[in-house]
Amino acid sequence: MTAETYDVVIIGAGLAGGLLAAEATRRGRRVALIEAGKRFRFADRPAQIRHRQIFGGLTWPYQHAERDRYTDSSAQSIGVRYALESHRMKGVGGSTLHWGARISRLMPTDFRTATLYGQGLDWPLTYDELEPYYCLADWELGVSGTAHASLPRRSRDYPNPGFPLSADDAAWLPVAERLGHDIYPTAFAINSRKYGGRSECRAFAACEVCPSGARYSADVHVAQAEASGRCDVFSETVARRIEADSTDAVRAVHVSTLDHQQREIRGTTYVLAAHAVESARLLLLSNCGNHSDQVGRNFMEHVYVRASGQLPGKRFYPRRIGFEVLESLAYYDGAERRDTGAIKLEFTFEHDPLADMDRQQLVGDAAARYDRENFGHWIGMATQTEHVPNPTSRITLDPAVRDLFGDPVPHVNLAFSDADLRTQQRSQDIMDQWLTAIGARNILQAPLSSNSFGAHHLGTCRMSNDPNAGVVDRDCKVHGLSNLFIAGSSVFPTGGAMQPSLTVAALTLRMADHLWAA
Amino acid sequence: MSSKPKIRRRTLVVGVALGTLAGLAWRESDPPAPEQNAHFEHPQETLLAFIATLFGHEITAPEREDLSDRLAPLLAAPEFGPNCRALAAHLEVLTQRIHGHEFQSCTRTQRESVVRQVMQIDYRSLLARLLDHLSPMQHTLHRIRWSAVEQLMWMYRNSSMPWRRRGYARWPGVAGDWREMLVPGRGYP
Repeated sequence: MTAETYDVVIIGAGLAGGLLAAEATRRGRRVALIEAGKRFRFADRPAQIRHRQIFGGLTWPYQHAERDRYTDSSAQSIGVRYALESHRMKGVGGSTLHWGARISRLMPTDFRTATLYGQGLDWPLTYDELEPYYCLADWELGVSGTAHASLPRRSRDYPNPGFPLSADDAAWLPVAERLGHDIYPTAFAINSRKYGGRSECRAFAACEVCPSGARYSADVHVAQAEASGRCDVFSETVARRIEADSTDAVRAVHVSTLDHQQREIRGTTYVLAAHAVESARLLLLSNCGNHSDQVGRNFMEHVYVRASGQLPGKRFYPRRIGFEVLESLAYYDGAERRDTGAIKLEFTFEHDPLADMDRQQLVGDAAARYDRENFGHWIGMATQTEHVPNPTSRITLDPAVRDLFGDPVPHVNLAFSDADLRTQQRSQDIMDQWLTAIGARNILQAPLSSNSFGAHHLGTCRMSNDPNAGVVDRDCKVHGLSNLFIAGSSVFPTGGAMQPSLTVAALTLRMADHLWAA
Repeated sequence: MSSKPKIRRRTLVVGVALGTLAGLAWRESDPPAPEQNAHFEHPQETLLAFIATLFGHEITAPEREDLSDRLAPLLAAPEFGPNCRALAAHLEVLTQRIHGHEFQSCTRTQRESVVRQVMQIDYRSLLARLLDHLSPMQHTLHRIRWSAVEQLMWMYRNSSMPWRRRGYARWPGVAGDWREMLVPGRGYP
């Protein structure tokens, strides 16, 4: 065992951990950054795209079968298995290595759903308190966006101009006008122009990797932290236990490398930023912060409900960039939110007829004709839906299955309430209305059982000033421990229907101010 | 008290079914071993012709180059190469049997009829899945249809070939200017 002492020990080198490490080193702090996954080389990204185009499968070779084991009983709760391996990313840079980079702030109402709608739990923070940090986060990530009346109040411009609506997107404008709803181009952590030493978007249309680096990924902040000379990164090193002493302070983190070398890492402050599943698991393994049995509970995801329709007379040009720009908040708030969760609409043009070839059993001219008649003639929609907090939806330990080091693996049980199912059914009705209004034929509603997820892990260590209702307080400090904090979406009491990353970044920057304001 | 005869009847039915399956498996347990034929050491041309036939178009020189560059690592991969070789071999065996010459030398109509046979290989039904475990021949057909064909379809979809045909000047993985999205593109040429 070797002992080292840092000002802050951060577990997890994703968005929250990487950004906090950069912020700490800017303020002169010495940082240990522990990451279970490996480092990926930027120069390898074109080869990663090529590999996926030929072989398929996961774009990022991030799995380590023995290290990343988990068990899952979601199929009993929601009818489908929750494939954790494709919904998270272990590596220096974390899930931002493969994210869509769509940027949203939570709406002010999302912070008060219990008061306003009788659902979930109010945040012990308000939108106004977080707003300055949202602005800082925009500038850290290099967000390209356009202000719009549908979006919550902002006190500072985006650092980069937004991506405008595409020629294809324009098809939706008269429909929105007819239905009386606003639609707007969303913001992205993708450079619309050179920013932060990174390229502008080069339209590779392979955004899951982004070989230009225009899309932000948190390895950028890890590199900044390391360049300061004040940050040691321990990659492929798994935090296995957090050890607290009799004074209710954490005294060390015990880690193992993949070749089973063990050590303890010590600091003044400890920050757990290992995403909602592993953060909860590490607290449970360490018997920390769980005096009120809240750790692991209220695990939330964003369910995507999808529909599409055919417009034989129109021609669209899908996949000229790798991301869709248009969205609407027309169904986000309102009286319905007492019975359902929030709904955000997204508009897409993705439809690859060749993906249907197997089912259609078409060969030769018939196959060519099918592609010609369908490619670019479909229009699609998706709703991102709120998952109302639910204590039975949770992460626990599975003592029957062990990981590489012999520790119990996380057990996932994603569960929905009746309100969630109503939200998904309402989504189908809304999309049917829009697709009918645009004149689509052959409207296809994906069955609710085949819904996909946003890969947004929320909850499990939720924030509440009441130690019996949450795991961390409004400053993200774990109740009952003086020097352990949690960064990331695991602290969200509710998740709205918005992509969580900007809120993660904003909370992280707020935490940095709290820890090192002086 | 009447459950015993019922159980006996069920046992008999299950026994007969298993016997039939075993018989089928035995009958098919000696499939041709086309992968060992020297002709199939270089299956690339057969597979390119298969892709062109399946998707209904001739391959231009730049497309041939792109597809060949993608096929090479697929054939070299231990988890995919043998299945792709088995597909090439199966195509040649079928073509020889039905039309009396090599797959590439066939007319387009002849090639399509062979490809259609490959696409109609049953790999999803319960019987097909059972036979997969019992019959080496069925197992090979399963590998051909489930693994090799699926993989080649995926590779084709992500190559330059369909995108060129759709009127695109570039495709996923090739850099451009994001402002292209602001104007309509060009349809099928």
